[in-house]
Amino acid sequence: MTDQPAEDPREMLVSYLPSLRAFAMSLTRNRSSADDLVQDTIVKAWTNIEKFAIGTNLQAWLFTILRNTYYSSLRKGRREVADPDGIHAQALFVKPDHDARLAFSDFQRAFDKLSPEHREVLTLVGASGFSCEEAAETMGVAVGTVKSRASRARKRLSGLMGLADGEDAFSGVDQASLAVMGRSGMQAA
Amino acid sequence: MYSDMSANNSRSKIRDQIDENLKRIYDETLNEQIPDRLNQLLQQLKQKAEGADDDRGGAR
Repeated sequence: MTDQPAEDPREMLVSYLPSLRAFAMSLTRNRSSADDLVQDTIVKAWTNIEKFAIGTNLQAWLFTILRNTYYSSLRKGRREVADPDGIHAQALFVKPDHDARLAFSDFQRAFDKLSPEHREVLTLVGASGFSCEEAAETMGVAVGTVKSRASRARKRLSGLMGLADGEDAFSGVDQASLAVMGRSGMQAA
Repeated sequence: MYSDMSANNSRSKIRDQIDENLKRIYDETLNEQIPDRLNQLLQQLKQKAEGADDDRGGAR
């Protein structure tokens, strides 16, 4: 086994289809949009393959094409109500279970409400196996930006699930619902 | 002191659970079968490239 990838990196594109789809899903949250995005990415990668430096990180190069394609289509497309920090989405937060475990369906709902930028950074550093350096390269930002954005995204996600990042499990819940939760807790006991 | 420790524990517990769920979302798509249209696209690109190479070879 040598460190050299195959001579023609185009031959290796097929092996990145699963991770390209997973990354595309984290941005679009829609299967057919994700596959459209992967399709555009593959065509761009194929036709610009001479711009890829052999021996560098092919996956990061492909992910960069994919996210740039996604964000430029967002800019060109219909102007959606910008809500990068999920301010109005936060109004729809889900209250925590008593044991603060994150039910997967609650998690998915909260994840869907994050901005694409927050889903992107969490997916890259939390799920794809990328280091902060690789994520920074992919996103075209400094490593420090990756770390601070990931931290804000985690806080936002915790907030959307009604978990206040460990500071106070019930901050963000108004007093009236605290009272209701207290009562129902007593009834359940 | 005790409450500081428990706050830190609960913060790292939440963090672990977030990462666990992020991986689960990612892996769900990662493990799906690749749609035919993507595999076909790669085949078409490859055939076109081979055709173009042949054309170039023939012209010289």
